[in-house]
Amino acid sequence: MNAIPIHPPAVEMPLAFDDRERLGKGPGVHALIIAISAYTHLPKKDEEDGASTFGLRQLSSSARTGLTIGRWLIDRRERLTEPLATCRLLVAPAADESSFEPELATRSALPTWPNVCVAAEAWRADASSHRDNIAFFYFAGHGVKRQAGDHVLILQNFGDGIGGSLSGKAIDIADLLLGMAPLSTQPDIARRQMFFFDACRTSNPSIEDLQFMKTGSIWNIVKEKDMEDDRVRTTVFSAIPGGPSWANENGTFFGQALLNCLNGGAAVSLDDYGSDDAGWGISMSALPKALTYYLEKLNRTLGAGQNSEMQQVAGDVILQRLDAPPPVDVTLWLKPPTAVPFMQLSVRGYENAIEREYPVERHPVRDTLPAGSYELRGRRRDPQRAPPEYKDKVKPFDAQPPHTPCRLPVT
Amino acid sequence: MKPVFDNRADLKGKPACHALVVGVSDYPHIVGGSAPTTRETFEKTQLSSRALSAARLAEWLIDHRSRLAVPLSTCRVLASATPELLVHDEPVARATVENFVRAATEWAADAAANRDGIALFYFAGHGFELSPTDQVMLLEDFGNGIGPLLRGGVGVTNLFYGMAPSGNAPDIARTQAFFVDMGRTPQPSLQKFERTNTTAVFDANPSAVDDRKAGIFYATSSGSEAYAVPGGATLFNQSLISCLEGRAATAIGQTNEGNELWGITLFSLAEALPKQIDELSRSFDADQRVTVGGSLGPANLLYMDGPPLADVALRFEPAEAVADAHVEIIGDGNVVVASLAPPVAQPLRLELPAGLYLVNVSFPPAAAFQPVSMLKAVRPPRVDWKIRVK
Repeated sequence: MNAIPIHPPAVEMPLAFDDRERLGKGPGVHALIIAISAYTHLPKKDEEDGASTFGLRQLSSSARTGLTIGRWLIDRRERLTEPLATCRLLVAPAADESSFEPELATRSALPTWPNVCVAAEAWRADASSHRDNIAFFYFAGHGVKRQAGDHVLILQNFGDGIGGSLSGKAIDIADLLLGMAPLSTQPDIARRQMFFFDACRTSNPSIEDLQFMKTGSIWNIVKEKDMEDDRVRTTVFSAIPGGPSWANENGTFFGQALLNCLNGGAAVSLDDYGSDDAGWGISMSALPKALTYYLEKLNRTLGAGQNSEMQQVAGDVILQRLDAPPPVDVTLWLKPPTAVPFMQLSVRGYENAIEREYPVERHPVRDTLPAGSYELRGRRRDPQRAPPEYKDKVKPFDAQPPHTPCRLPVT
Repeated sequence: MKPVFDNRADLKGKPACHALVVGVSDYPHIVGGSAPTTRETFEKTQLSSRALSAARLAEWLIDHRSRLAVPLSTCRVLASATPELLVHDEPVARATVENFVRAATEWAADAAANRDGIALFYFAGHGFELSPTDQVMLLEDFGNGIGPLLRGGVGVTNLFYGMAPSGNAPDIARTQAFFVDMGRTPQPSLQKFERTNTTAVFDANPSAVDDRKAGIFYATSSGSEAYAVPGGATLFNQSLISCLEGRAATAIGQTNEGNELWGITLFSLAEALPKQIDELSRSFDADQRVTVGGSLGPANLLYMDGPPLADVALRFEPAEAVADAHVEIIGDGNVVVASLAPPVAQPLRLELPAGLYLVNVSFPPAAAFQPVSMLKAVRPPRVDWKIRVK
């Protein structure tokens, strides 16, 4: 039998990043990242199922994804809307992930039930220090659905054979979300919160055959009567209810798509937000559209079929300000396509010095341009040879993340 | 139960939109009602605008049916109001539990005919929160003393998951929108056993893959009230219709001629509706914040006839430039849509059709600023243009 401590250790887990002393009493971002590839008690890919393991296997790239998200937060700590104050990492890398972000990995703990309980309580306490804090939660690993509307995140000690299959081995997300609400015990908890659940939401007959399985509670939640839940909360699931999440050697699909969003795909012009800041910021309201775009791109390339789900409560949060206009995928078409052999396509930026001419054999043209306004030009390459119905044309377009198509009619 | 609008005969086998719209203003069994008051009213009072709001939305859908992404096939309306309401010149049934379950069953059966269809649901009335993930909508016969206390209520969760794809409804409409226009204050006095006794509308199958693009738009956030103009419409209803009329429009593609095609999608509604209600509720000195849940997607709900109108606020940086700036705004086809002599208002507020505009700012030779030209986008519901001059 593999023994686990019945009670969580009283000591705080190591922090991957801690800037609390410098920030003092001011607001900050408090992150909790749990990412599990190596499930000690689960069979490897080609091994037989264990008892009560629901057909789950070891994973290969969840830990890498969690570490990448942690690295992203730490590297951008001064560009976040509030500075990064703490980042707690609990990762269980697979053997071939052990060389990934080794320095960060040494400042993490193993995501077993006791460790997660301790880290979650400490994270909640930090998030409760200022109502202008931002709480950030990311989980990558296995997940299951027990019933409609339900989602359970499976921790590293799952399958240890002690007690019920999920008891003390899984987080019920309802418990997590409710425990982060404004309560009389935590009146100043972060009013901006974001949760990313990067895990399957499938069920299977072995789960349905069991009586409803309880997970255990990661923390106490005070029963509240009068306190309004005025959080602006974003909850993003990597999969639709009943659906799977996918991964490849570069990480989970959702993690890859999310990073594309955070790197500019979910950017909005802060001018449009009536902000005094010029420039661009990463908006949680822009996430659904951007995530769908990047997931569909991955699905097309890799033959998968993953769709995310998002719940947006009571407004928007800008997580990060960008140093420059974000990159935008553009697709440029000539109409009609029969004009392609006779025309030269080019773009010119209104607000930047970009001027690009595209080879005629590339159609439609796919490029990446900094967000902003452009002029798309279609010019006859040889006016003598071009059929008379084709004319030189110019059309303005506004490149907005994540993707902007533009068709130029030349007749 | 007869829909107030029924085009099923013409649309048989084709993707179509099916709407179920419910509004309850009259609650006979709570204070001020026409029948004996229930033992527990949860401090609820009679309403004056919820049934009207439902009727308003149903009329809007029927009037704008040509703009829906798929043709409107059925619109079912239940409304409890005094005097009784007509919708599309048809009398409507009252929003009792029995009528609700019957109408919802028929609505679901119609929506199950084609996976490319759209299912729309709207409820306005009293409601409260059993838990942050479980809201109950109270129907007209709430508190009538028959059966358990919450027999007159139906759960949003049951309705939402009951409309999911299942073995019984594999081809149910994959685009769905649920608009829940009610307060979400908790009722801690409810006993645990009472909480489980709402009326189930559907059997919900938990194991099927739920690949719907389905949004739940709550009028307010957990624990909060939803507001209305007495005798008029709810703030949520007003905001929703504004969004459907164009405030939530987004470019959904381009025509073969290269012109933008505009429409309302679940995404764009999820982005615009919270902003719209935030603006409206502030104007009433209220704080009401839309919550969006479900599985959103780029699913199209409506097409626009042309570019929607959007608010533009143009500001100069530095502000002193307004004293000398001449502003010319040029739209599609090189049409000058505005030509303004100094001093220009700061901010300058305009309403323009969505699209791209060339903004030329010139100054007299003696002025301290250089002329600038820039391309600016107008997107609903509003944009701020900052004109930075040196």
